[in-house]
Amino acid sequence: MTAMVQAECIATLLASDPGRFGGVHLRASADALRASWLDALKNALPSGTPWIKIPAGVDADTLLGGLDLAATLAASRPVMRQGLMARAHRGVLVLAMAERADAMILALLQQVMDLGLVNIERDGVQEKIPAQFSLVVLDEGCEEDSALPSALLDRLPFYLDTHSLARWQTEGCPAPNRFMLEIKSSAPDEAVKALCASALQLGIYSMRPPIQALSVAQSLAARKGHSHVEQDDLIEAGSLVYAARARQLPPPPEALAQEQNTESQDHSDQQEVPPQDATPPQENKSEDLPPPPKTSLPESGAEEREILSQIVIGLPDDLLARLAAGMSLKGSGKVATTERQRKAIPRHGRPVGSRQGDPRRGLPLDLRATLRAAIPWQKIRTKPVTTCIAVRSGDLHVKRLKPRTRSTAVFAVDASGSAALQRLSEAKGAVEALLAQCYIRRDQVALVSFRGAGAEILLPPTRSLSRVRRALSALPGGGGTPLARGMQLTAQVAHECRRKGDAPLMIMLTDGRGNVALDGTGGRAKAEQDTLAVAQEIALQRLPCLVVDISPQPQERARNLAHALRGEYLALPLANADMISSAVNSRMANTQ
Amino acid sequence: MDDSYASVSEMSTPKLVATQKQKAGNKATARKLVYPFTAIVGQDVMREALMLCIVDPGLGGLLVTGDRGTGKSTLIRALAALLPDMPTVEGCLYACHPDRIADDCASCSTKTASQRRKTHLRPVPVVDLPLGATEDRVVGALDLERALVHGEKAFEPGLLARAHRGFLYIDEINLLEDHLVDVLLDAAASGENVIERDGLSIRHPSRFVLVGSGNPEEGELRPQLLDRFGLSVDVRTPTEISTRVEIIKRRDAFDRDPKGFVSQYHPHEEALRNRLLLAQQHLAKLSTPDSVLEKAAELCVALGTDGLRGELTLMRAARAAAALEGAKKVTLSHLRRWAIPALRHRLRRNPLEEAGSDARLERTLQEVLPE
Repeated sequence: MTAMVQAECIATLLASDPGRFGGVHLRASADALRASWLDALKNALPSGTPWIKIPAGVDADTLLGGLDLAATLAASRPVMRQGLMARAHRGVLVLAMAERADAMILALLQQVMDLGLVNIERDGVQEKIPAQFSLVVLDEGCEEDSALPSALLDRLPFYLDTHSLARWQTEGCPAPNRFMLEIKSSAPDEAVKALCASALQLGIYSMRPPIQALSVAQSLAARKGHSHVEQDDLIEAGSLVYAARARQLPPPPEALAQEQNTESQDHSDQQEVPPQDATPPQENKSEDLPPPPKTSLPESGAEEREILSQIVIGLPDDLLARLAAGMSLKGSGKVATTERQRKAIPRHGRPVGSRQGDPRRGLPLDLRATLRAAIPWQKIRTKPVTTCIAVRSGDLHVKRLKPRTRSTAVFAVDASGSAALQRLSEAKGAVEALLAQCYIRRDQVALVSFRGAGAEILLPPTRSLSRVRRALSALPGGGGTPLARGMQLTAQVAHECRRKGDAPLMIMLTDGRGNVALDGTGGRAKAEQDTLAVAQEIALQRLPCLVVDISPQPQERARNLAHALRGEYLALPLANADMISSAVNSRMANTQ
Repeated sequence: MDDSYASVSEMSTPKLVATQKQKAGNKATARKLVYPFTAIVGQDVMREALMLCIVDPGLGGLLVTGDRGTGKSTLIRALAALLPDMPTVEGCLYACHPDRIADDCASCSTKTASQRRKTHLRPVPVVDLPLGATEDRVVGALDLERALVHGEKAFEPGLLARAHRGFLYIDEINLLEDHLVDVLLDAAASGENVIERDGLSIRHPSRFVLVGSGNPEEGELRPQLLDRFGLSVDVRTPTEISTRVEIIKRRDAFDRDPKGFVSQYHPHEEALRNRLLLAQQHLAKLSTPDSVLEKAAELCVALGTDGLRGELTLMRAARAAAALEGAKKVTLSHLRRWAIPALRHRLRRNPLEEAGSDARLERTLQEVLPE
């Protein structure tokens, strides 16, 4: 299937039965191309279908609905205001700038999509309102990995990006043809099996994609007037739903057949693996990597292999290239969400709603929410003559605040050995350049250096340029490399920053070769053991980390270190201060 | 469970009355058939853990974490249709048991002795605490409608009242707002809910089985909240093709004809319900050999779990499992099977342990309780 058909096909499917399919992840910048596809979708919808846009910075109240104060007072009985999700029932809900949306908003969408109804327990009202909608997620994020939580993407069967839209456009934007769905076709067992098998072969482990693919295949069959799901429906559905989610390439057909033969031979050995139930799965916490299943299809028929290979042929070229290179694909976004969530009750920042509470405990009073809470009860409150509105302590609302997240770049500089002077001066230049660049964002920098037997904090987190110049004016260099100790101290500084509510980023300027152990003794073996242990400890704290190797010949060791830290590796041979600072700067913007 | 209070007769105390509204119109349209519990394929540990919570509600509830798209929510929402009815005092707003009327029940304290004896069967509530719920709806507040229309003060019970003697389910529990977690922990610890608001001063029993699901990747749970849960289960997507095919086929059959599908599983549901009822009765008669108690203690000492809660939960889980099997006494195999779910969330985390605490647990389990 070509991309032209894909964009058109998705619009057609969504329009044929709004609310039946979870929706589409539309990854493109806000340009005419995207607008024209959205227009095409809008036009294809049956007349009267709701088309609701979720504004940027939406709050839970608008999305869910709640008490309509004005109408309530006018009618003297509680009147509900419908939320955006309920209004989009059997229609389309558009989430603009999804990459900027709050984790809570995304979670609300997911919960309602699962249930098909809005469950409201708010402001004295309780309601269950049907809300089945197709969600169009407009993702303008430009990083390679989408910043959206994988849990949301898992619920969206379709994916479109700039490439597929562009190809759709060059074909002259055929209007999606509308058709009425009447699904009478039940799915034959082989069809279900083919969809399941090909999902596993492509490294898709969640149960939702095959379920979605089956539903798509049924719709496609209905559209073509087939009495039941046929092979081309399966291929088309597989390409639509699996393409963007594939995480591995299936082995070529011959290899598959071969493997099956060998498999049947050493079948007995394979079975010794303890059964899944008896030992609940352990380790492997990373969510998309359940223990890899045996990739061979048990008694897989030629038909299944045919379907799978057709789906693979339909995958876009760039995706194939990335898969072949073993790169991870869209939908990680974990770190961002984690950072957005875990916070103590903040006492400063921008308001993100209000809650019942007493302002005397230190949070600012939300006057509007307080009055809103008080007004409906006026009838049963005997008012003192002088006041218009009787406010009771239970009405008081305080603002819930979300602190502005500052980024702190914590540099760890290897000041040992011969390269010390160069590294230090580049690091110093980078720190200064960074501060100059990110003054507006109110970001901070800190600097730790390690040499000889220990490490020291040369510069605690600061925004002051003059302080940086003073602290870094005379930097000693040379001696052994206590890498483990240096990392430990850097992580400590980063951890402190996080406790204060800032988002730290650790930048290690090193070639990854330590030769002084944690206890200060020399010896490469012990030092490396310590380095690895500390790296694992840091990885568990999920501190974002960047290892920059600026030696003329980048070393494998630094890459391994980055891997152990679950951080990023950047080889910048002969880098200067500007290169380092711009690399760091772009990543700091991401941690926000 | 929406109509669990439908039979409550309106009381007419002039000044302070409590109500539970019926909003029949809206709910009838919103009601959907739920996927049957017995039709769920795989996920044995999670399913049995839920069954243990039914057999022994005192177990402390269940936390389910893990992969997405594994049917966590489906399984928990299927509970409502499965649970046997429970006897309650007729007209009690908080669903008191006729033989064990709570001292703090605001509703029963106004009844005469003969009124208290009238029994009424109600479905066990399974209450969903949706994200975005506000505090007033969780703890209960004045009834807005009666205040506006009739100008009278009436208490409208919240979710904590509705969940009493039943289940309170929180999906995406890691996203639950902090102040709601506080309220929840307070009710769970004391078994009652206290409301001081708008001149109201009401307390009522609120004992529920807390069931939470979530993805720890999206935010860690507070240790206090973690500790509240009796069992904790980590679910993984099945990788067996045949299992996956069966899941999808059943899901498809249900989507196509929910009514027919549900009725097809009716006998299974009935059978499981009876089994659970028998297990509930059997639980009291079970004997627990000292040797099993000693092993449980030994295991907890070896793991260094904090406090006694781990040990108690482990014993309760093993007892419930034995009851479910209809065994005469608790054995070491029950202990072995439920040790990980009962203890895994209570271990102190060791930052240098890469494989996570489950590996350590299993190692210790093998040492203390070799198979």
